[in-house]
Amino acid sequence: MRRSVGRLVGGALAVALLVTGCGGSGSDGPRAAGSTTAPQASASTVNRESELTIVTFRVAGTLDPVGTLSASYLRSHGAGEALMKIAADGSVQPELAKALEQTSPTTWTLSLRPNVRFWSGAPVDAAAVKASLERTRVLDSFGASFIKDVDIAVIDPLTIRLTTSEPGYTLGQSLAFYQLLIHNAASYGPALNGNDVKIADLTGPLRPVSFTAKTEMVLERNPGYWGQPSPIRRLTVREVADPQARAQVALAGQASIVQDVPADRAKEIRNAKGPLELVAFPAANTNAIYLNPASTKSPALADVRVRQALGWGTDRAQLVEIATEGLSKPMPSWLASNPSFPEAAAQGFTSFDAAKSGRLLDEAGWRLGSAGVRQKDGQDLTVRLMTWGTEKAMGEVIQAQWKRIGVKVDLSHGEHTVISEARKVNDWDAFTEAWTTLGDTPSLLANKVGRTGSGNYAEIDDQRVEDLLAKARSSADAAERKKAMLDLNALISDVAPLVPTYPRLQLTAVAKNVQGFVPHPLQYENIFQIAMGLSA
Amino acid sequence: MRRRRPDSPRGALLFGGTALLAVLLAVVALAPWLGRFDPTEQLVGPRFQGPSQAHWLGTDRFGRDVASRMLHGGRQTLALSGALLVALLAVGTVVGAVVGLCGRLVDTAGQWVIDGAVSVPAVLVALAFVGFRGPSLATVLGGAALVWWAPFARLARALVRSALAEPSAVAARGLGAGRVELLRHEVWPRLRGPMLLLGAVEAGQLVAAIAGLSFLGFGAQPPSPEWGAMLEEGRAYLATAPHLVYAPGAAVLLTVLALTCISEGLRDRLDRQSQVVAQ
Amino acid sequence: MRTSTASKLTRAVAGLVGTLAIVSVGVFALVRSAPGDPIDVELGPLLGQSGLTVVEVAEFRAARERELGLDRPIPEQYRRWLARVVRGDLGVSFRNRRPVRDELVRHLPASLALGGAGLTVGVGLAGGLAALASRRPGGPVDHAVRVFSLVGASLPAFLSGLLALSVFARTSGGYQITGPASFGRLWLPALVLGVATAPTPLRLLRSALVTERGRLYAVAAVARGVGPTRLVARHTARPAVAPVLSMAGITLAGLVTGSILTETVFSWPGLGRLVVDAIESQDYPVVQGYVLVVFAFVVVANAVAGALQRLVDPTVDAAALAVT
Repeated sequence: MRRSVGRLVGGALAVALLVTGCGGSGSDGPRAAGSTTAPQASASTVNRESELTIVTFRVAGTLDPVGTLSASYLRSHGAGEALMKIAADGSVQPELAKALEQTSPTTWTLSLRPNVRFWSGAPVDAAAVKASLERTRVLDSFGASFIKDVDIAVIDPLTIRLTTSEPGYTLGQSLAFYQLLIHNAASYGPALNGNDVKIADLTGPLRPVSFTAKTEMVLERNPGYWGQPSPIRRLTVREVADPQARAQVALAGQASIVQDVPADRAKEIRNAKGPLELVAFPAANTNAIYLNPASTKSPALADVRVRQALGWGTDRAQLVEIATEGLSKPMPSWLASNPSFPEAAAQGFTSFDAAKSGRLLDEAGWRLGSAGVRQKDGQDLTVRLMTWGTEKAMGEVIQAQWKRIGVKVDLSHGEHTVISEARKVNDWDAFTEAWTTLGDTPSLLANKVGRTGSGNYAEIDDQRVEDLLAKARSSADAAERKKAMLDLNALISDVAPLVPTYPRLQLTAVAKNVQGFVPHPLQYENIFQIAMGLSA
Repeated sequence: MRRRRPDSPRGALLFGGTALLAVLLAVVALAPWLGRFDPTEQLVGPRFQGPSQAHWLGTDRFGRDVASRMLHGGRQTLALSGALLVALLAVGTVVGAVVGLCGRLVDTAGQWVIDGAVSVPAVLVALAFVGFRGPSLATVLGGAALVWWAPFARLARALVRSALAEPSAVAARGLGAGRVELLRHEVWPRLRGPMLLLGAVEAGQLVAAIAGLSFLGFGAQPPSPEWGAMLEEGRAYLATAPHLVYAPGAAVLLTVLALTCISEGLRDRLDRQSQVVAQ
Repeated sequence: MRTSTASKLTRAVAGLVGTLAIVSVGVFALVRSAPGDPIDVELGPLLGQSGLTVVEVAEFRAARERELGLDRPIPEQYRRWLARVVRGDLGVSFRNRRPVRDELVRHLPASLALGGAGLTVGVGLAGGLAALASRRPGGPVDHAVRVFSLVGASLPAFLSGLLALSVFARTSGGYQITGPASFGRLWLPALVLGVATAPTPLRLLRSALVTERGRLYAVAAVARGVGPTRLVARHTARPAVAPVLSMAGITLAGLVTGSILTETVFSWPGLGRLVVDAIESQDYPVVQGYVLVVFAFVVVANAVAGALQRLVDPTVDAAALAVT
């Protein structure tokens, strides 16, 4: 039984090709940027017994807000509330509290709503709120940093006086932070304790009835909620860590809301015209490339002109097009992602200017060599860029773009700890990181560029920065505070310890029959809204 | 008794597999000349374009030429796998032979080490390394190499011992043949074939393992055009730009297929040889 | 001098313990060699957001180091670590503060289900196809099976999984991509895993069956009028199984590694997905726990399989085996 080689191998290949499938559909050209408004279902009638499924990249790690990677998810899925919250326009509004009034540069009066109760029925009075905040102070150093040096005093069952050690105007924003969810300290106890739905005791319109960490949480309507009742009777939250699998869920319509859909599947999901629609909204969170002026291997970065040249030599529009499929937007300065500072969009690297970039580099002595790489004293201009997390694509585009202005980029993608280690021994040139700009903005700024800030990677020590920070924090005039922050933003663009690129993209897939989804600059903690439900 | 007819395609299997592998290696070796673009240069054409005359295998999300990336990536994948395999084969053979030749104590200890290393899956070791040291191709290969020499050592040891137990070897030793002569005339001929076979078998597994780990994001990192990394990048675009998955997928498939055919063909050839010997 | 079974057994067990000890040292060294310590992983990127000053971060770090015992000398750290491990305390996950042991136990059933199903499909396929192919060696069925075996061995499981998903999970009524490890979701990943696992036992079974069929006793049985099914079932199966036992070790290894990829592609909440997620989020205790447990399991299982195989058929040629 002779069979020729060709037929046997050909047969194998044919089967292989059959198994790997026939050719797929052709691809469209890139689509225009996504919608930034929520899908409009029929506005009037909402099903008051709605049952929804949310698929997210992470379910709360514990039901205890002082745990890591828990509080923001509890808030996002309707379980937890803080005293204040940040609205979609960037302003700070009362949430659990009734009002927050500043009576002096260092004192604030917090009024609580009457008859608010935890799920267990225990009252949310001033004593309970104080106990919650103090428990956070003890057990959660991250959350504690937001009420650092704030003295909490109970005046009467519905009033608390807060006293700060320094004059400041951002206590409301601090109290809106997710790590300060108000919880029943007595129920949780003196240590981290978040695995039992019976012990968990928060105030939200939904309460968990079953919880498997990192897998699933099922919540049901809280009948004793202080505010207007939610139309959602039952909410199932499932974790799907793999972004591609989440995209698959969105495509197949196997959930009501899918959080953090990867941008690279956006085109496919739109083309499919399935039951879920994409909502793209830029986060109040600045993606940037941090530079090291004290780099030993890349001494060019010590020169501010070189750093500025990198900023001008980055084509943000192209970067957004390629790395986020056009769903984010270019950002010229780091404050520009904060919706309260629209003026910031006119500061910093407002355009892609390769000519200016070249001039700056020439001025700094780095001239174009034969291989297309700039040189000075026989040395090439190289920058080692480390990326991590979701910024792989950004790194690759930046490498290609900086190559065009004569800078050679050595790219590596890995874990954040590699970057931390490199920073510890000052063996780094550049890395990517994204950071929130909305909240207690002067403190966020101080952390980034202030003398003692733990996020001050370039070790900036500039008195002008300190002066502007002081003004931004404690000047009595609101307009002066705002101006100080904008001036600081402009100063930072001049000193250029970082190259801002674009705001982090928030891409959510929302079913067409879901009403009440609100695009929000802090979407990660604002998926659930009180009016949300399915169309009747 | 009906004699089992020799299945002729088997000889053809070896030939076909070797031919396919040779073609792949040649194409990949000629990458700088066959690939018309720089594999890392972006926007050499419109993004996400399917196969066309300008770009034989289309372009990817960065507008890079897929064909050029495939060729250069193949260089990396095949060269590294090949180099690693040769090293593992050499080290394993030497260790196994030494253990098999030496006295009882060394043999027992050596067997214990080899058995321990064999029982641990190499991918698991690579995963452990990546888990603690971060993803990189070097980490993956290093981790895998830590235990992947063991199958070769085990086979080499068994072959050496069985070769020395053959009547011809015993006779030669009785006639005063030295160790070196024994190795050359008795051991080596019996070692060659099976070691080569195992090499072919493990080579296929190695290529598949590297591709799989890179696919998870644990192997080669951007902008490396390694095939597994290309698969990981292309995975998102399976519905909109399938050529990004099919190209590296077919490459991996063909390589492993070639190696599998070679190993099957070699195996049959060895079977036949041993049958002849037995009769 | 013939050694008694008891002393052989003690030697074997001692060897096993020794191997496990080395594995433990290796894992410990690996964990400690990771860039960044557990505190970096905990603090990680959050550092850029917090209002903590450099001094405060240093204090926090020092306190955590004392808590975790990271300020002790390495050999002492290893001793304490080993003592905990042997007791069954595998530490606590960074991400959700649950004991690693609980996490592993929680994900184990899903992996067992998938592994078991995959193995069943694989061995079933292998057995059935081998029996078909061995009836007429060199015939068209044999060649078709050969092609299937070649393709199955060459197509990586993750690739076939991806493609299977894109075919079956297109609509909301199709294969459910997410959700718990239910029987309804089991069939597709089990099929993919089975197809990937089948080729090696298939080849082995087929050649063993062909050889056995050619043996005198089998031919005599056929001459007596024994039908093909009975021939396989009652006569040729047992001797053919011995080499397969020896394959058990490799098949097991293949299942463990195959499951890692398959579970990722199918979002199957088993151990493979646990470790991939843990690696991606740098949850070192979970990675460490997985590595220890799976390594130990594989080593022990191999030893047992080896012993069983020697028991079933001590005459099997070691050299021939090793080539498989």
